Amino acid sequence: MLIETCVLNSKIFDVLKTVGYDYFLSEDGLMGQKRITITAKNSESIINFLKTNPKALVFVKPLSIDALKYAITNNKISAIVLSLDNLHLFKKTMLNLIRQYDKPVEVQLRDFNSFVLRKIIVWSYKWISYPLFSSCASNFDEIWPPLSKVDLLVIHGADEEEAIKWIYFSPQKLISKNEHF
Amino acid sequence: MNIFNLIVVLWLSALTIIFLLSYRTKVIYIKKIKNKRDIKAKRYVIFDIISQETLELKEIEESIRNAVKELGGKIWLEIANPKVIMVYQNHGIVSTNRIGYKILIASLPLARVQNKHVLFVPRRTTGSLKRAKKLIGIK
Repeated sequence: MLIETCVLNSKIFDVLKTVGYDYFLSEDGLMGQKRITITAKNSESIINFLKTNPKALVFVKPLSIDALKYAITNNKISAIVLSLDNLHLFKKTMLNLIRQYDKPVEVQLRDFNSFVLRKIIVWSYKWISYPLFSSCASNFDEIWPPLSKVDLLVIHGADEEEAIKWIYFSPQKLISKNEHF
Repeated sequence: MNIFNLIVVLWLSALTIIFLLSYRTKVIYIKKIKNKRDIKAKRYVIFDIISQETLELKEIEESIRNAVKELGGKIWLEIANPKVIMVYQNHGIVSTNRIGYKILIASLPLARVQNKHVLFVPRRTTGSLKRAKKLIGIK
């Protein structure tokens, strides 16, 4: 089962099916499993958000060390979003913590950066067990087909076998870990 | 003592001359390693076209070439040199080579046609045009 881990608009589900995906996580929650992405400047903003008891997968984009540490250690947070804004936070200690808690890390391909992709590929060999690569498409022409995702990782230096594993099995692990939602 | 020194000097100079002469005539054997991977071998990528509007072959080729240039730059565009061979119903065949087909597949989602929403989905890669045509349903 092939899963797309981020879709902004559920109406493109028909196209997703023809592209090859069987299931998806959507930000609007109309179809598929709902996910919420929050940008956190500190741990308090995450705590305040979790008090609302959201019935969805929570993805956090931390902008400080404090928020990142809290996002890794909290079980209610499903995954962490990595981008150019928070790349500097991912030092060795934080990566060790990610490995310890088996936390998935997501990169959104909507406006991807080659430097970020290269970094997550290198880290995925040692620290990040479940890297996620999501389209975050709001329209059907922004969808990344699975074959294109694999080859994008391969041209950035990943092994083909590993790239296939990350694209096919990491989203399944994320879903199985958060089955209670 | 002087005679002994003279003999040693003569002996060493004779050795040097012999060595230099033998070095000049010596044939150095270098094993030529041929690159067995034929980098010019053709590859044909079959892709699906998802769009509600009709597209011309030139438009598709231009958008794919722009996408490859956006991702890999001018160097990779010239290496991959993608050319749209044909469009049949909502399938297309684009030709490239063994080095460039991965960057071509990776850059297909970046392809944009002016004022039109379109998505190119890579399906298969083959080595012969005959097989590619067969796969999209042309007999």
